[in-house]
Amino acid sequence: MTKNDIENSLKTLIITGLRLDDITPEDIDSDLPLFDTEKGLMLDSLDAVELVVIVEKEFGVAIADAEEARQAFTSIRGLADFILSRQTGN
Amino acid sequence: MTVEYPETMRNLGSKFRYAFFECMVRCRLVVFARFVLFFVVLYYTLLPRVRHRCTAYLAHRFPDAGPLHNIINVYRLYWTFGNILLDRMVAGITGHFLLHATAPYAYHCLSEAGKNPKGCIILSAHIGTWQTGLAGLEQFDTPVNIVQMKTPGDPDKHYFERGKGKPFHVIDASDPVGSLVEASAALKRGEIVCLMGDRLPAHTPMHHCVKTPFLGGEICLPMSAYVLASSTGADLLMLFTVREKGLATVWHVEHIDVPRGLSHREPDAFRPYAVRFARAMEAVVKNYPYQFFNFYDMWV
Repeated sequence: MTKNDIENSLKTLIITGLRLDDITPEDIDSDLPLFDTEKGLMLDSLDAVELVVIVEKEFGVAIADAEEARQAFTSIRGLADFILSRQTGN
Repeated sequence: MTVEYPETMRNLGSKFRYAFFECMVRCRLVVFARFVLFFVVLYYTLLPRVRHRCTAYLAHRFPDAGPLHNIINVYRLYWTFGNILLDRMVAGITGHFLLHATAPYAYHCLSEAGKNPKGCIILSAHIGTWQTGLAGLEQFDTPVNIVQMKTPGDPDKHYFERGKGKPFHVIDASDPVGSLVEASAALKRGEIVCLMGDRLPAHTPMHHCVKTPFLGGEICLPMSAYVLASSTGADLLMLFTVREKGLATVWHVEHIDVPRGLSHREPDAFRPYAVRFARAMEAVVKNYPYQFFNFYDMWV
């Protein structure tokens, strides 16, 4: 999977898995913050719990602690980078 | 909208008072420490601002109490609280974390807690000997994590980190996203994760709560434990430990079966579990009215 594929896949998975009913994948900019309280997708801590499970189930990548969560959950692009780096072992 | 706590949630004891009691405990003068505690509690009971902290709870628990009865209730509540803090200090300093369970069922449930490879969430409340009780889980040989606010310099929370033993690992709840990710990871390792089911960390969005009846009114309870259980497939056990004859004793253990795949965007799906939790808390405070330690108005 290319980084672009992962980003597109993440957008769809986030919308369906987190039940964000009022947006489409096209509405999501890959650089939008995921967990900012004022802008971007404005996901919260309970979304994070569900997102960790989605990432592990779909991409086989575990997010183990708060530090990794900070690295991974910056934006769709950031999360795709994190997944790719874990999959390739870099 | 987020959860905000009033000033009254601030810690009662100053660093000096904690240092004094710690010194007493280290000198094996626990009985003398309890004697001093009697007067400290009396002093606090006479302060209107301190009495005010438990007014809401006592009004719900003892709706018919007159003014004198109310003052006695405040005294008894703080007296029990003070003794439990002293017990906790003793346990933290000596490194002896004992959890007593009179019913074999309780032991069975707790010893099974670490056997699910997807981990076990233990849901407790600020009732009775919650922290000493949870520390006592170390006897079941599964790593224990507790999600709680790690306030730097807060003297009463860190006896378990400064004492002889470290019965649990604290996951710092001040980072809401990071703490729940860390909790998920611990569950994935098959560990125990303890959460408080009665109080949300400050600034938590109100849509993370579900309303449930409690002591004749309605309170908001956090749904994070149920969301964690539903997402990860971990077991979920309610656990209440109380102070009985000076010992941290298991009073109530109950398994809650939360189905997989529920979404927190539909909070109604989690309400039945929160209602069960509130009912269990109600049963505890009906039997142990002076062991409920939420010193703010939690009713909506």
